[in-house]
Amino acid sequence: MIEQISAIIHMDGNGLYVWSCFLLLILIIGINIYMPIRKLKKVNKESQSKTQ
Amino acid sequence: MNKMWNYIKDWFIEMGSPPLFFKWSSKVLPWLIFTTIIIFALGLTWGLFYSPTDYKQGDVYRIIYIHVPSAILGQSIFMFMAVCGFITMVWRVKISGMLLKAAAPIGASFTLLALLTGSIWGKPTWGTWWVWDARLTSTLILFFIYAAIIGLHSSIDDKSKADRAISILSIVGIAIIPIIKKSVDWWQTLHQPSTFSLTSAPSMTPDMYQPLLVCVLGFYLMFALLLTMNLRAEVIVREKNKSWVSKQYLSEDK
Amino acid sequence: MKSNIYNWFFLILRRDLLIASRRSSTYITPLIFFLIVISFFPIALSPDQEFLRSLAPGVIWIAALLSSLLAIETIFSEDFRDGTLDEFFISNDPSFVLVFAKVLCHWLVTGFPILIASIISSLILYLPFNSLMPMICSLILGTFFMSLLGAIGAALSLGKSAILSAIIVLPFSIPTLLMGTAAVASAIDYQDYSGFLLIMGAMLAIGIPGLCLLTVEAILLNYE
Repeated sequence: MIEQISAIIHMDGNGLYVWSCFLLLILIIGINIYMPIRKLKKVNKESQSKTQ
Repeated sequence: MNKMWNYIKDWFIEMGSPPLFFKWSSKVLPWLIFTTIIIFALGLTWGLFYSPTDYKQGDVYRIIYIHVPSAILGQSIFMFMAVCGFITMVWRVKISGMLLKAAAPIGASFTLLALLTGSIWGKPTWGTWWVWDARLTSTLILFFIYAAIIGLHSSIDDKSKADRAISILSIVGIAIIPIIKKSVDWWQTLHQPSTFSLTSAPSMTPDMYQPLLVCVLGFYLMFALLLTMNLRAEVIVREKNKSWVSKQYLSEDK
Repeated sequence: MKSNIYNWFFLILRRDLLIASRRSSTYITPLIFFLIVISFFPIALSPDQEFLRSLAPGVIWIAALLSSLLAIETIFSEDFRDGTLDEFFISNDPSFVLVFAKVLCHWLVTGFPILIASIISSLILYLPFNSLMPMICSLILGTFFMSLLGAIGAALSLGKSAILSAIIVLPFSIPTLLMGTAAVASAIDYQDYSGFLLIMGAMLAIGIPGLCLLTVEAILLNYE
């Protein structure tokens, strides 16, 4: 079991490349998810400070 | 058949109005998130873990499951933006302009992802981080065009005028991009280094390209999800002083 | 005077040529800028003759691109600022003819200095003499296309920074750059360079109507 996982992470010695690409994917999609949520939160905050 | 056509036409007309779009997208969003996560995760885990190892490149080729879909998306999103730009200029539909603006950073991110993953893939397989072959160069130019569109939009204060400015730019872009691709292809044949053929992706068995198709579908769904989220945020930000925003959106928050 | 398209076209052309000719900086500055950019390459890289000869077509074309970009800034901004552009657009006469006349004038005024500077640069950079004629032809076609692209860049970024219009225009000028340098490089090897000039001419043929119409739309954006 552990050998399987370590084989997956190692990936024939090129694990660093594959997993860094995977991390880049997560990072870029994460940024694209975070930006609209942040914009909406800003609008909410503004409207709350206006009504109060 | 006629009824379905009418239904689709009515849906398009309704979506042109920001409050109706927002209400519809609020209903659709949970389903979209669900399907996107499932298909995206399915495609990636299938490709990263369960597809066979390539005999020439080893396991590194698995980057293809991220690189190829993001390259495909980067180009498709630009065509989508050109169509939106055309609709905005000809029929003055405001939401089409907002679609264009919302799609631009997503397209730029996917193109950047394609460039970076392609570069990282190149290091173990070709030995260098970057090489000026035709596909990489034209993707780089595509990224520059995306950056120009985003930069132009952010520099104009009146946002509906900014939408129309980027519509013009995306129309010019879609006309010039085939010319750029053809001339970069031709430039490459002139200067192709004789040592290795750079555009050889692994020749794929069905075991390998089935997860690739699922990944492409997952990426398209991810684009739809990110676009919907971006467009909802854009609509709210631009129309925040209108009454429908406070009635529909802000009230359900408190 | 009978009001038709030709009169309108020549009126604008004559007016802009007159304005440009009154200020000598309009045609001296592209030339000087070109020569400065050219001289940076031997200074920064290497003054070796063989090296410069191999670089010469590309370097001359890069300098031509940058010079025509910098020179296009004023094509609409002055008329926009003092209101004459409004008058032109209000009148009944077709506005894309106006845009084409302005682009043509700009190309005549800045194209010749760039050509002269390129001839000087071909001496400085040891460009072989047989490629001089193709270089001039490709520069004539190429700078015209650059003026068209620069016009749409200037119209989109009217009143904003020059570097924004540079970012907008430069990616689209890559085909011109490729074809132009290919024409000069193949002429150095005594090969047939006419194909490249034909492609540049074709790009002009599509570009003149298409880009002028889009430039009109871009200028009209500023009047909303």
